[in-house]
Amino acid sequence: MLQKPSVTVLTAETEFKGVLAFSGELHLHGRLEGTIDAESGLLVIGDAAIIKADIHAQDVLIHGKVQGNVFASGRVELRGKAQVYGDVRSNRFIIEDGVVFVGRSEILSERAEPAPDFTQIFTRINGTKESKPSRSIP
Amino acid sequence: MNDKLQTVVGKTITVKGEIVGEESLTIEGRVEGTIALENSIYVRETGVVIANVTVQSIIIAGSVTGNITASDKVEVLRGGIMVGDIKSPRVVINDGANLKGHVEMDMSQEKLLERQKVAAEAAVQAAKPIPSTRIAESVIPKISPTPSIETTPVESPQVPPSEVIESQRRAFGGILSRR
Repeated sequence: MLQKPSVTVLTAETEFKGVLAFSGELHLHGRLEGTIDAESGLLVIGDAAIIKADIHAQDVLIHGKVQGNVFASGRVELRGKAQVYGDVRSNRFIIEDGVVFVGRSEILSERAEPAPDFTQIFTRINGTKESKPSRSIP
Repeated sequence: MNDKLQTVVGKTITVKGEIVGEESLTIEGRVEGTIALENSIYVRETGVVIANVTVQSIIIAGSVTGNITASDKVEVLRGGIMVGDIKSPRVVINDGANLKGHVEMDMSQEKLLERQKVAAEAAVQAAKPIPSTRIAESVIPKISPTPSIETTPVESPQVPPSEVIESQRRAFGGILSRR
């Protein structure tokens, strides 16, 4: 288990409008409208939160109300009293009993492991130099 | 469970066509067509269903391709594959399950009843004849012309759940209360 990175918290008394980007861990308990951009972050949406945004994150845990699309390279979990209206694209998707979800779900299992890049497989041979004629063995 | 015989579509059985009935069904084989049951379906790990399914509840450990309408619950277990649209008041997707398609959950029955109760009470309140004794005029408009979510289903407490969801959706309109 990796050491837990520092956690940012937006409390229930916070309202935010605009683009929110972060890495690490963010807990939202307030209201937010706009876009959330956190390709490598964990987003936790508390049960009092109301979010109207498209969400890009690695992992998203939702307990509150969300209207908007969720894209997660990792997992999306809808728990407790979550209400989600929008499409979810994720590698792993979990819906707990009692949750309200209206939208489309798509699993990104194919895209989760992108095809390895074989264009530059050598690390010691410099690809830019033209290969010299092979030396004759003495 | 053991004392009650259950219908099982065995591992090597393929059914093509329509399955209709009132008892529960376990599918270990393959079913193609349509299924309409007033009970529960259990699609086991080996089960493959290519059908539109109307059922009370369904548990999927195998694979289902098609649309599901459930009056109670849809659950996709670990390893289960569901491709198609789901319409059900309760949907549970476990970790490791695969789901591709549209999901529509109605409000839970409890909440629906709760809302209906509130709506009915509001209707009674609204329908109450104004007593002849004088009421401050400012009170009256507070009751009627602000149709909140609770007061919309006044005429028909049996609001289609989708409408409730729509009103929920609309309620998101101005979420920033301080602007």
